[in-house]
Amino acid sequence: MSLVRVVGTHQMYQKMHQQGLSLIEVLLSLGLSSVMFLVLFTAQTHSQKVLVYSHQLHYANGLLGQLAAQVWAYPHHYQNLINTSLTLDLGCLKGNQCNGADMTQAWATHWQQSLLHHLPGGAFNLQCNGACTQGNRLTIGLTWTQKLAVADDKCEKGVACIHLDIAL
Amino acid sequence: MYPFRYRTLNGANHKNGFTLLELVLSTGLAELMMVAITTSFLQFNQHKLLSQTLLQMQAQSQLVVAQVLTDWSNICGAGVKSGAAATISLMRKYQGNCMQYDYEHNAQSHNLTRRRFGGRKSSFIARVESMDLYFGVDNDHDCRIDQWRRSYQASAMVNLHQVKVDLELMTASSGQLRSGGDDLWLWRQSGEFVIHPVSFIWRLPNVCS
Repeated sequence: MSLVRVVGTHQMYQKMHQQGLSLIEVLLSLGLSSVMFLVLFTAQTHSQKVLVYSHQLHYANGLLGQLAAQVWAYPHHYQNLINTSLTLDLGCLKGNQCNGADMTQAWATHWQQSLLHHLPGGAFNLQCNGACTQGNRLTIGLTWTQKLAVADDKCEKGVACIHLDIAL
Repeated sequence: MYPFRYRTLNGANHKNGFTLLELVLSTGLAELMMVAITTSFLQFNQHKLLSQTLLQMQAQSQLVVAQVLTDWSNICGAGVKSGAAATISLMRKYQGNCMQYDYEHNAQSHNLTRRRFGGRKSSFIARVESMDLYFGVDNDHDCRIDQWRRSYQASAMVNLHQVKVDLELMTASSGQLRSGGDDLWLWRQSGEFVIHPVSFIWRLPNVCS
């Protein structure tokens, strides 16, 4: 390309743009900025959701640890620990002397109240590999609704679940 | 005159400068962009602070639980000797000997102190707003907890099985989170600390096993 031609092209470009930006240029740059803001906003929103999920997992782990401690404490009544059909007053956890059945029911009520605050649609589940007898394994699970949770062999998509195995 | 598609937004075509419509439109557009940019930055900052605080809270609670459980794991002799809402005395190994250790919450300095028998109190865990202990005891020796007490004294009549520890920890956080109208957490009035609860159960080893 000759020097004269390059200078000519440059002058033509300058002439075309000496009047400022055209409407289409302004609109295009605005559109591009909007897309960038939208991407930024979406990324941040998603990151916030992940943060909430992480907090839920942290809480659920702590809760499962407490449940496991009570399973060991009441080997004959641990099924009551997840029974939410009966609501008991929490006197058993505040100094009253109670039997094993009432005590486990009080724990179930206590956790249920806590679950409602922290984990949407939260529920415990207990499952034994075979009969729930000595020598077998008991799996304590906790599930709750969480859109970010992915499906695996034990949980469907949209439901977060964690579990803990205990030797009976 | 340029055809419409080449007309520009500057005032070159107008001998007397910008028209009112152009001025209003460009001001509006600039305002919209400024609002979008400012909101994005504010949200980004809020998100960063929230992430930092949450992570600190989680790390702090995990460390505290691990620290307490590790410290109490090697009990010996009579085990737990006595306890109340915010104090506990237990026997644990120290250089091969079974020694008494007293743990207490200090409300003034907001920390958990530890004292070996005959020694001085030292800070064990910092930034603890409150501590509540519940003692799960077996009164009829059937190896089941039948009462959760606020205080405990070792005796032949009762067996201590578990201790439920409810702590309220303080995590440093920026006041900007508080000003954001976030009522998710409880804040300490005097400083920029978030109060968050941590509960765990300590199962005493070798009880009815």
